[in-house]
Amino acid sequence: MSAGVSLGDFEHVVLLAILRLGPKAYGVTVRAEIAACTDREPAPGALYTTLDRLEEKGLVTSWLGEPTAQRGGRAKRYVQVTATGIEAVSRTQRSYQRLLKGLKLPGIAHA
Amino acid sequence: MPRVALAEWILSLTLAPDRATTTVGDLIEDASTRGVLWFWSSVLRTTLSHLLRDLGAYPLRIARLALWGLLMEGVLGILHILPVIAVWQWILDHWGPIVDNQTTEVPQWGASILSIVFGVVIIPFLVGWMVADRSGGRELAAAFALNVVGAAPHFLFIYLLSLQVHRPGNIYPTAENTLITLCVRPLFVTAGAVFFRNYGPKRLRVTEGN
Repeated sequence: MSAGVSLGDFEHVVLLAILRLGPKAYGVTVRAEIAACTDREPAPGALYTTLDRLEEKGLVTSWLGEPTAQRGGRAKRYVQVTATGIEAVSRTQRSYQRLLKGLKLPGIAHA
Repeated sequence: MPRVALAEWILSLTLAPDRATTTVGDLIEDASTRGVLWFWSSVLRTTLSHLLRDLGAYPLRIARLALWGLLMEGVLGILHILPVIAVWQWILDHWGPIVDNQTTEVPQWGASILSIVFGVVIIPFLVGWMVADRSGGRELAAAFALNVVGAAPHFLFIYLLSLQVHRPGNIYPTAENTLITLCVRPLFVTAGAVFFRNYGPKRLRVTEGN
């Protein structure tokens, strides 16, 4: 069992959404992506605290884009998953796969 | 736009200014399809989320700080008697006849008012500032914890005071003043912490250790 940064469920979801969005990932798009993929819309507060925490853990980095009129002249804060973040996602995915291996769940073909 | 500036100010109570700006930008963008009510509830919920995160991230540090603040409040509460006596004596010396001709009655209510001003406004503001200074960038969380920790001892103090002092003309231990103390004191503790966050010397945000 390798030691590393552990991920909470929602942190895992947020990292996957950022990875799916690529260079278009910022608060609004991340929230929309999570809502589209999970049918559950995260509260803005939960998302922003999670993004801050992920950045403190070194799992994502952020940078400012250009201000736009649509946002009242305020810039977007784009986010990107770091190498450590990708490693944490991979490790969590592997854990889930190990847990699922051999399970017979109704309606899930690969289990 | 002033309303958006207010939203940014509210968020900046628990977020760094640049983060508050980008977060408000996101909420403005989302609010174009969701409406004003959603915008303001999101501003408040996001601020609350960050406050709870700050409280939960370093609970021992925040709890120790709140207890230290309570201790300081107690010390200042005792020490404030000296300036109250000095200020009231100065008022009596200079304006005594104007305030009240019956100077024997003046000190009782006058000193009570001064004591309330110190105890409910000035000391909580100073203690709010002091805990904010030691909070490692989590000013609002420190003030919140101090208010929670301080509520019970203050209520007990006022209750005991009301049992001891029933003299006519003494305005302190009444239900109204109990309510004022329990509501206004937290307000000025928070004001002291917010004032420090906006105008005090900038401190590095503590992100390790407890």
